[in-house]
Formats: sequence, structure tokens, C-alpha cells
Amino acid sequence: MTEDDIKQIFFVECEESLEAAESGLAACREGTHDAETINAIFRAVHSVKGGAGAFGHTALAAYTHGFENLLGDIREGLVPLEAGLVDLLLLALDCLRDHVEAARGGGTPPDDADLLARLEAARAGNGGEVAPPPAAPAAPAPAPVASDPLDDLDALLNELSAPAPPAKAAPEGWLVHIRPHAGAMTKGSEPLLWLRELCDLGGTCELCDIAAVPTFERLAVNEGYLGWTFRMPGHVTRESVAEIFDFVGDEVAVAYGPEGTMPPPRIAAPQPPVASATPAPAPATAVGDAGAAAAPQPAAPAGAGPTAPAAATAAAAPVTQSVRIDLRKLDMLIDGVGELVIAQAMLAQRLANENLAHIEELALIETLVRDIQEHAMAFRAQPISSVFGRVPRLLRELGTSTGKHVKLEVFGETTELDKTVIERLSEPMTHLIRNAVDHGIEPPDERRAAGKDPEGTLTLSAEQKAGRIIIRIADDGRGIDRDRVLAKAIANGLVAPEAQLTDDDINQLIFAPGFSTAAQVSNISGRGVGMDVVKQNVKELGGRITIESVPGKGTTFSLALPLTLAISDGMIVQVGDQSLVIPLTHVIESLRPTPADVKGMGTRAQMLNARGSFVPIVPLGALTGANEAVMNPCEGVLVLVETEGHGRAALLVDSITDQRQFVIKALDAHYRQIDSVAGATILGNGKVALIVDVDFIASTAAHAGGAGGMALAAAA
Amino acid sequence: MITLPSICDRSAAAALYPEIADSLGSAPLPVDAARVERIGQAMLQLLVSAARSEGGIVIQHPSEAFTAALRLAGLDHILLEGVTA
Repeated sequence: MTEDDIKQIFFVECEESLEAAESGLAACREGTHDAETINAIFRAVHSVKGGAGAFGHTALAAYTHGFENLLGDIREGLVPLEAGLVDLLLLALDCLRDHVEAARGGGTPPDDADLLARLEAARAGNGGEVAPPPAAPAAPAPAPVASDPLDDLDALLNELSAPAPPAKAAPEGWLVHIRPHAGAMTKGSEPLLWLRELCDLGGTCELCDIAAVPTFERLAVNEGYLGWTFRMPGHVTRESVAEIFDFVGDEVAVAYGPEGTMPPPRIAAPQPPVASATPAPAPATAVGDAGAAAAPQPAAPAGAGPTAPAAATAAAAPVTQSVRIDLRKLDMLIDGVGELVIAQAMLAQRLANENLAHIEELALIETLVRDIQEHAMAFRAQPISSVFGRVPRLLRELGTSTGKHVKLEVFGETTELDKTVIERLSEPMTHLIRNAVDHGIEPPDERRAAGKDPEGTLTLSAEQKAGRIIIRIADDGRGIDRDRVLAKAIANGLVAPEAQLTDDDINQLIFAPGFSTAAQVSNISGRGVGMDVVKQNVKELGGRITIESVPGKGTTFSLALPLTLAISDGMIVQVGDQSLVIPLTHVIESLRPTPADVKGMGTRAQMLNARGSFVPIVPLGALTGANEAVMNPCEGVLVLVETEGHGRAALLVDSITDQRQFVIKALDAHYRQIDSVAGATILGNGKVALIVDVDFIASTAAHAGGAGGMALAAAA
Repeated sequence: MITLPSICDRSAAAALYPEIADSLGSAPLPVDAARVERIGQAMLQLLVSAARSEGGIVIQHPSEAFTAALRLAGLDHILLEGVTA
């Protein structure tokens, strides 16, 4: 792992820390400022500071130091956390974000002098109880930067020596055992800093294990001989302790559990190197390299005292562990799984040809492949909170520039979806939210006049529904002014003046390129780029966007996105000489109608009477131009499908041949984008089958009242 | 008499090792900790080892930072017993 890789990890962790701090502060704003919440914010900022110092981001480290000082005082109860202070902290967090961005991109750090002064002022306003002076360097002087890990220790020592820490109730909590190895002292880190972090979390040192310390002539300066047992308070989680050692790698052994689980020391050679005029044996190794070079010898529990039994180093505590993996490697795995699915389908086909379709082994492989696929997909799944988490800041900024203060309500933030989807979701979401605040939510006066709460509300929600993720962005603003939208569209020549449009059609106009009804172009929105980009982004993700808007009540944008972009379940149907795939997520049922169930409408269109409601019948044969497709519904099979926003349709096919997983291959990469085709896949017999774009077909069917003559180019 | 420097990091420990090794003897070796501002694990274990070796050491004039670091590391009872201020 290169230093760049480690830096990369640092910035990923910064993101996580910032999110944690953001959600902590959001909780504070709601009135939850218990010790654990404040601790979490402190830890988040603190870990940014630690990494910043280690990587030499001086401006970032200096800023976080000032920020952390105030948080420290709040945690100690020296500064009461009032609403105004929360706002200041949020401001400070925004600035921290900018600092992190600057450090990541190598840009100029933001001007934080003013903010640091305000943070310091907030600290000073703590009712005369001035904190110990040496721990308050706060001014923008870059002094407190942890270029040398011992620097931090300085502040710690002052803290420790000044007021006595509050007395801890003795037997409560749990134990953590730490055994730093040689590398922990030689690679720029300092074990005592970790002890300090444990103290910060409320831990107390129960025991320092000195059993392994040899007599002086056998001592090697670079080896780690000491081990510590700390008692952590019950409310502190193991994860938060494990976080402290995240950066350290295997240079420290950490174990959890009762006394006696202290990991043994890992001391290299029996005889120490070091030093000139000692009576010790020949100084074989140079002092500087000794520790590093001598590291990975398996631990011979030398001098294992009563506290260091031979119990394994790993000290099997049931802790959830995580591994960071390069996304490219993960994608290779997913691609491999995709190929595996195809290979398994081919195998099944081959066996079927040999009349061996139902052998047990095949069923087993099928199950295993499915399991592997699900697990591989789960690797990529991330909670949507990583997108939602950025919204509060966006709202604050919008609040400052528009004067509209907007409350945020979030539901379903733990809903998970594919990482690629998450990454590409952020941009359209930002556009939609800006749009909601700028155009949707009225200024406070107007809201008051309309009898609404002067503060607008933005509701974000995410849920999994029918194999898709539905994300809703709802505001309680004025709703879309359809008359104005239509007038504007006509003025812009987007719509013919005599066109008859439904409400939904008019809503959709706001996605047209170059469309904006904003009277003035603001720096937030109104340039008419944006909404069409949003639609494009969502479409690229294989998703759909729909609008519901009630005048005076608000607007809701619903994004329906696929769970994953790679593999899906589908029904393989035969239409004439073509095989097509219908994504299973859309399928409700399949049936063979009786002549009484089918009603003619107009000259060509037919409707299916499906338990009392009429559903347009779409003969897929007509769309594909397949030869000899069944055109009479009573001779074929109708697959009843449902869509978001376009209701139901009954797809007429000749027969259903199979139901299996299929790997989605984008058609536009190999051929070009075709309406009513969502992609292609490779079947078990090696043939290409087109995946039916059910949404598109249902929408055309709904408009045309039956088979819209959309000729589907037969790419297969 | 050994005097600890203000920054007691790993390199300071390495530098001090031969000096202490030479001076350890039958009587406790006085170690002056008045100037210590920062101290790390390397120096702490050096002192622990010296204290457990023949003759041992006796800490004199421990600075506040020194005492606090020992307390943090749970070594105060080992190194600071019978200390002269």
C-alpha cells in the first residue's frame, strides 16, 4: 500500500467523519445533546485532525485543532450547548468540509481566521471558567499541528495535569488490552497518543504490563515491551475504540475481554542491537532501522508474566471487522459473477439438451451462483444516507442565499443501493433540491399569507419497492404553476399552441432542455440547465422520474431506480422467432385469456378485462417485427406487467420459456439506444435476447390506447 | 546523575541508552526529570527497565508533564515511588 493509497483512505474516512459530525449536530439541533452525541462529534473532528497532522495538511490540522478545542469544552460541560452555538458549530463544520476538500484537491485552504476567532470567543464565553491556558493555542498560528506525534501529547499532558479527571465508578464497563509492537514507535506514531484517545473516550488505565520489559543490558530501544489494559465505560462502543487503531495496521495488537487476554509482545531477536560502549553484545544493527527490520517475527512469549498468557494474539473477540477494497477489484468480481451466471445458464441449456435438466447438481450450482451473486452485490450496496447526509449543508447554504429556511425530514436513510447508483445520484438530487427551495418553497411572507408555517419543509424518503428504489423529494411549497409552464413552453416553441396536454404532460415539460420559468436567473437555478440534466442522469441510471404536484400544497419528485445495474431476474418469452426478456420486477401474472376477456377498441387496439379493470394489450410481435408471432391474444400468453407511473399493460407473447437471472448488457455501448429496449443479454444457448423496456411500452400503450406502432428495431 | 531532555522521544531514548547503561550500578541512579515536556513509550520503557535493573533509578524533580504521562500510562506507582521533588 503506497502513501497515496493511505491518503485516499484518510479522505474516505474524513468523509465518514464529516457525515458523523453532521448527523450528530443535526441531532443536537433537534435537542438531543447527550454525552454520546457530543462525544461522537468530538471523535469525528478529532480523527480528521489526527490524519491531517499525519499527512502534513497543516492548515487543516490547525483549523481542526481550534474546532476541537471548543468541542472539548462543550463535552466537558464548560460551555453550554445552546441553539446559537449549534449554528456556529454547523458553520464550523462547513468550513471543515472546505478545508478537507482543499487538502484533498491541493487547493487553497479557506480563510478560517474569522471563524476560528468566533470559535475561540465561544469558548471564552464559558462563564468565566477559563480553560487551562496552555491547552488554548487556538489562534491561526500553525503551532499546534501534530507534525511530531508527541506534540499532541503536550496538550494532553496539560489537560491531565490540570483538573483531575472525574472519578470513575470502578467495576463498570469493559476492558481493552493494547500491545504496541516495534513498528508502532518507529513509523511516526506514538502509542501514548492512543492511550490519550482512550482517555478521551472516558477510559482509565487499569494496568500497565511491564512483565516483558527486560533488564537494561537486554533492552532494545526500538522494541515495544509495554502493554496496557484500559477500562472503558459501558456506553463506549468497541467500534469507537477500534477506530483509534484504524490507521495503525498490525503494529499494535488489540484485544477485548476479561483480564488475562493481553496479547503477548512481539520482540524480534533475543539480543538487542543498540549503542556503543555497552557491555552488551556486538551492535549488529543500526539503531534507526532495528525496529522496522526486526518486526515480523512470530511472538515468542518471552518473559510472559501472569498477565500475558500464551492465549492467542488474535484474542478472538466477536468484533465486526471490515476491510477496505479497491472498487476496481470489486467490479472485477461482479463482472466475473455476471459471466458465471451466463456460463451456468449455458450449462443448464446443454444439460437440458441431454435430458439432464433436473439433475441435483445443477440445482445446487444454481443456488450457489445466486448466493454468490447476492453477496457480491451486497458488497457494493451502500446506505443512501451518504447522499442524504449532504443535504443539510445544501439547505443551509440555500437558506443563506435565498432567505428561505427549510426544515428537513428524512425517511428511510438506511435503504441500501448500488454504489454506482449512489454516486451518480448526488448530482440530480442536488438539482432537484435546489429547485425545490428556489422555485417550490415560497418566501416566508408569502407562506404566512397562505396560512402555512413560514418555514418550509423538504421531505426526503427512500424505500425499496418491487425491486426498485423509490426516492422521493417533496416540498410543501406552491406547486407547479401549470398555466405558466404551458405559456412559457408555447412561448419557447417547445409545444404547439393548440396542443392538448394533460397535467402530467405539462409537468414533464420542466424537464425539456432550455426550459425555465424563473422570472430571474438566480445563481441557484433558473438557467434551465439542470432539470433536463436531472432527467438524463436518472435515465442513464435506468431509472424513471415522475412528478406529482398540487397547486398550493407542494411538489413531489419520485425517482425510481434499479437496485443494481448488473444482474436481474427475468422471464424469457418467445415471440415468433425471437426470444425476449421481461424483467421480473414488472411482472404481476401471466394468463391465457378467453375470447370474452378481450375487448376491441377502435380498429386495432385491444383491451384485456383483468378482473374488472381494462388493460391495454400490447402484442410484442408487432413491436419486434418478429416473424410468425401470435397476434390473437387467445392463442398466446398475456404477461400482465405493472409500472411506476404508467399503470398496467398486458404483453402478448407466444409462450413463456423460462425464468432465470440475466446479465444486463447495455445496448447503446454496442449498438445504439433504442426506445422500448432496455438492453440485451446472452441466453444459455449463446443467442442475444433483447430486454423489454416495460416502462416505455406501457407509457406508449397508455397514450395510444393500445399497440402504439412503435417499431422496435430488431437488433438481435 | 542523568538529566532527561525536554523532548523524550525515541531518538532521545536511543541517545540516552549508553549513558544510563554506563551509570547503572550498585546504588540507585538519580534521574532528573525536571525539564521533561514530552515523553513517549520508548523512553518510558527505558526508564522501567533501568528501574528494574541492578541498582535501579530514582526520579528527581519530575515535571508536571512527566508525572501526567506516567499517570496516563499507569506507570506512576512504578517510577515515582519515593521520588524527591
